[in-house]
Amino acid sequence: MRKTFASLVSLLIASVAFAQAEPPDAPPRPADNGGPAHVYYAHSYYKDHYNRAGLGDLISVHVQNFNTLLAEVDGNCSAIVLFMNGMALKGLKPESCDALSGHVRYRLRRTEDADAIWHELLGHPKGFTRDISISIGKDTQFSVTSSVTDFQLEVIPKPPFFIFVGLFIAALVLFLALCRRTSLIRNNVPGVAPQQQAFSLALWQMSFWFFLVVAAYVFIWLINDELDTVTESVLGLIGIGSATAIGAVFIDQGKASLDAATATSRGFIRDVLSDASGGISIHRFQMFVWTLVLGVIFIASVYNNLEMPEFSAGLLGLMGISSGTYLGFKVPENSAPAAGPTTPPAAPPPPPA
Amino acid sequence: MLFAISLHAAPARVLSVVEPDAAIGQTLTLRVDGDTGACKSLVLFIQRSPIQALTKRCGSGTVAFDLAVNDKNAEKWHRILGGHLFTRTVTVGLGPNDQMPFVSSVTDQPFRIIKPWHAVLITIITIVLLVGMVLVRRLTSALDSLARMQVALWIVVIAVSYAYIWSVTGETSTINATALALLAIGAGTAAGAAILKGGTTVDAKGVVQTLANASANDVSPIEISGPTGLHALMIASWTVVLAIVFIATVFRFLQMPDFSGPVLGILGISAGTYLAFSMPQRH
Repeated sequence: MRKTFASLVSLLIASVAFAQAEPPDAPPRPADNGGPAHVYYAHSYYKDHYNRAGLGDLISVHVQNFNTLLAEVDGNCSAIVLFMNGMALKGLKPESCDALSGHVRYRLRRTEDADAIWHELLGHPKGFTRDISISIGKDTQFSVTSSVTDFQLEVIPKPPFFIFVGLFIAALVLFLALCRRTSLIRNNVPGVAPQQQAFSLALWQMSFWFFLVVAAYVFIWLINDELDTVTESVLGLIGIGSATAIGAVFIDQGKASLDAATATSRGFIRDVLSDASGGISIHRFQMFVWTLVLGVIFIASVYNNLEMPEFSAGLLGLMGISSGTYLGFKVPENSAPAAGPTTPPAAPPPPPA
Repeated sequence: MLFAISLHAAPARVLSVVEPDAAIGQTLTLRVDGDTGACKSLVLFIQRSPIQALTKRCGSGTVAFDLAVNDKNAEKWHRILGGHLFTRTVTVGLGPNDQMPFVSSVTDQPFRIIKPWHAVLITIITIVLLVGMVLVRRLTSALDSLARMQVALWIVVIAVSYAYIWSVTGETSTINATALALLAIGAGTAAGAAILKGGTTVDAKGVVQTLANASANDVSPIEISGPTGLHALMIASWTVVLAIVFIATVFRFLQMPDFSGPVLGILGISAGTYLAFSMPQRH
């Protein structure tokens, strides 16, 4: 009798203690009625916001008639699939199940099979959280009915986002200051002060892609911990930019001399669009515009899909042709007459007396 | 009598943990009430996640586990122990299999992440290595180029990361292909820069003539800026960004990151650009 009493007390203590792990406002479990399974509640384990979870967090899905669902998967808890917004997260197995209470627990993490769905869930953020529906199913095709339609999925973790914004602004200001005050993206011409040197289209393009890709890489990593976000086409774009810049520098190195007129800046736009004759050239214009267009597409893709775009071979070829044309036209620019004031030809020697 | 029978038929419950705190390498003993079933199939649950392949011993109302990291449970331990400094609290459970744990009342068991003296030692080693880098750069010519500084930085980052992971989990085979690739890219860049430097011929007459014609105001900024700035900025920025990502990944997930081919390719392109720009600059 004493042993039975002790067991009863210990069970009571254990039940109370266990109940503390659940949210205090969790709804009571509806009685099983032998019908189909139904998701009636879901929560995370954050004491200050049980209704919110993000990548890496543990959530618990509460199910009425859980044993019906368990029977459909032959008692194999790991076969139960989590659904978010009606989309099955393939490859994400439950951490554990509780048949007595009807709870299934998942740790939210990206899997290879569900990568596209995570991009769909997290992409195009309009706030720090997004209301989603949560359900589970016996396979990846059919989910059970659910009353959970307003669970807050943390789309952008606040601390990393604010860190990113601070770093981005600081880096942008520093980068623009370097571009303006030094010859970071200017033609390096001895004898001309750095602030007065003309801007280089090739160096601008290289720095443009460099800055965009670094910022996008850090942004995506802070949001969803992805490390393999640089696509091969983005690598190709960087390669084209670097090769163009190297080619331009080598061509400039081959010049006998750079006259002061072409080496002095006349403003960023005129510098990058003008050739040695001083006029706007179409090959520079198309390279400049294509770089900007692809840059906008790049930013939109990162924001909407949280991934860097996969540019087609045709687009990369277009950039390659633009850059090649730029370099091709740059070679004869070396031998073109200077547009600025020229030194008058030396007077002919006096005729012999 | 009926009530007592029904109690014995009820599934087991985890009541408490014997040890005041838990840690990798120690034993964790659970006090259990009820029928747990076969001892050999029991699985420990930490933070509601099953920890497989642990050595266990069952006693009268107790189940003891030797906490250790192995190939079958490393990922779970990394998730549990990563991202915390010295200690954290965890939930502790027990299950007849790795899917359905018994009810547990242990929701705030202290778990030690790293021994304090290990943390102090790693901090001291890190500071010594960083100070050593600065001193070597200032006092000798061993780290006189960006490429060599890059190699030195990766050596420090990888060494400290290795020591940290070992201190927390006891794992020794944690250096992956990415770490080797980062070191190789840095070493290749340094070697290329050294070859270019060695192969450069200097026209002493031209240098003297240039210096004679130049004033003090126009030599310094032109020598520092130009293509030198952009390619150096690129390689330095990517190295710092990847080093931060590397360190953060090690701290949060207790494993060295796997950078994909394109990410390493960017570092390679930056290194190639650095070498290419070094050629005309030196001539």
